[in-house]
Amino acid sequence: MAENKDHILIVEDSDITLYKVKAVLIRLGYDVTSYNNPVAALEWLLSTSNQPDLILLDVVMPQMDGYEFIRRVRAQSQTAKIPILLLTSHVDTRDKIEGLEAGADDYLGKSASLTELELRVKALLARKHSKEDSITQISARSIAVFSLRGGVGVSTLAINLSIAISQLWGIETCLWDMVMGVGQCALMMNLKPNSTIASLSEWTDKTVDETILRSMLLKHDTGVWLMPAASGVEDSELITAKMVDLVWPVVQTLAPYLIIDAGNHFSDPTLTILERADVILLVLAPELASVNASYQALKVFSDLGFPTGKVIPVVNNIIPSSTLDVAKIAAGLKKTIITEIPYDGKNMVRAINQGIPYIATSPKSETSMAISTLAYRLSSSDMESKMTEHSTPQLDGIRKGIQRK
Amino acid sequence: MNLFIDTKLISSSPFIDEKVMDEFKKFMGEEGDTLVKELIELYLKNTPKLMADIENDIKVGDIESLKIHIHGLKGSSAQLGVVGVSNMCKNIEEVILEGKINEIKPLHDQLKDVYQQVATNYQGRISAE
Repeated sequence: MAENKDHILIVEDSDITLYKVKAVLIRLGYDVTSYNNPVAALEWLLSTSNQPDLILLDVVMPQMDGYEFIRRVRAQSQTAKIPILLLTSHVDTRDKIEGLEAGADDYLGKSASLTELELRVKALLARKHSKEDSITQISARSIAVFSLRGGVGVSTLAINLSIAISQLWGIETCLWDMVMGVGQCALMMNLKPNSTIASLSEWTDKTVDETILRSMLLKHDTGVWLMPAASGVEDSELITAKMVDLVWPVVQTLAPYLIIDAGNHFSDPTLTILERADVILLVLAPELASVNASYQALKVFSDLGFPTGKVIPVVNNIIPSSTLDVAKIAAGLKKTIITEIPYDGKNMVRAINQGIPYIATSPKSETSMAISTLAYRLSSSDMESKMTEHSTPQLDGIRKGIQRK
Repeated sequence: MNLFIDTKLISSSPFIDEKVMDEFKKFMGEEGDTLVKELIELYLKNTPKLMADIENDIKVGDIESLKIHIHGLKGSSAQLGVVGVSNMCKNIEEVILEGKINEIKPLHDQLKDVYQQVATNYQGRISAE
């Protein structure tokens, strides 16, 4: 797995300062791009696809001062959120205020120690990655559950997450099984499909009626409506990206939350779903092949221009004795892992064999609590404001747990 | 030759704070000696041009350009711990800010003298290697 280094841009007109700071940052393991001319740096920044994670910026430069540079960076959507550390030999309060008002995130005196430089750089990068990975503020009405490696529990998580959101707030959710040809979700929920969206292959209208889609849904007594997968090879081949486009606007309206079992490979329909979903839960197991598959998936998402914060890795701990712990996985993926689901192998298999979703059979287990907490994080920003009076022992427990953290 | 690690063994200068480059050398590990030498060589290569720009700014009375060049020299000198030069630049910045234009010339003469001593010290270290 290739190392995923943070990338830092230095803009400093003094070749000597540039040389020294660049050497220090490379020594610390960062990728560095440097310019001694702010105009050229800005031109590069606004045209490159290799956006830096952090900018170190001089203030007094002949072609353009640092404050103007910041204002121009902040004015462009693609660069507006890049953290900026001002390098300044001006240390009076007025200069600090001007820098911070222009939009700098922090400043550092040029006479500061190298350790202070190291710590401030690390702090700004950590804050940036933390913001990207925070899901407490995401309004995730459509949640795709996905992995590039099979057997890591994508369907299990999709089903149990749908139930968890439903039960937390007492609302209905819609689960869309996009794993074609298999029908795992229906099987695991003991439901028998009558028709699937494959029947829309001959649809010629530009829109599809809600009642038609509703007729395909299967009701589960946990409050989840299942849109089953097309079964068999022939039906599966009828599901196209165009069909996903046709169904998407309507399927979102069927319930307050839409959870999609997006399977474990990239196809045109899957990519269309992943692009449209508010959030992608990238499920992985603590083993190297799974981490590597997740790394590759993250790279594809990045190349497709998906916002970094849209993709949330979830470690499903199906190998409890693995030496690959969450910290190592997070370092490898350069993503914070906020959700680790403990494995409850015996009960999980029993639930599948009985056709009863796990969370319904073991509602108080650590595994169910982890899934419910994830469900809360994904739905609370919308639901807490609408249901301030809503209270159940489970919901209150999760609220308190999150507040403590 | 170790240029900085034992400051008692080198030709000391009141204008150079050796601790600054000691820190850099230690931080950079095995590459420290090479990088310190390259940084000093870069300083000796770039500073004469900056000094000439400052001389010209004073000669033609271009205060805005002088401010930028003095600021640049102050910053690059501070990176190597050349406190004699960076402090003189700071003094010149202050008199510019206070509008005491006639005080620039004597300070500039001192700056040239201090820089010359620093350059001689550095050249001695490089050639002794």
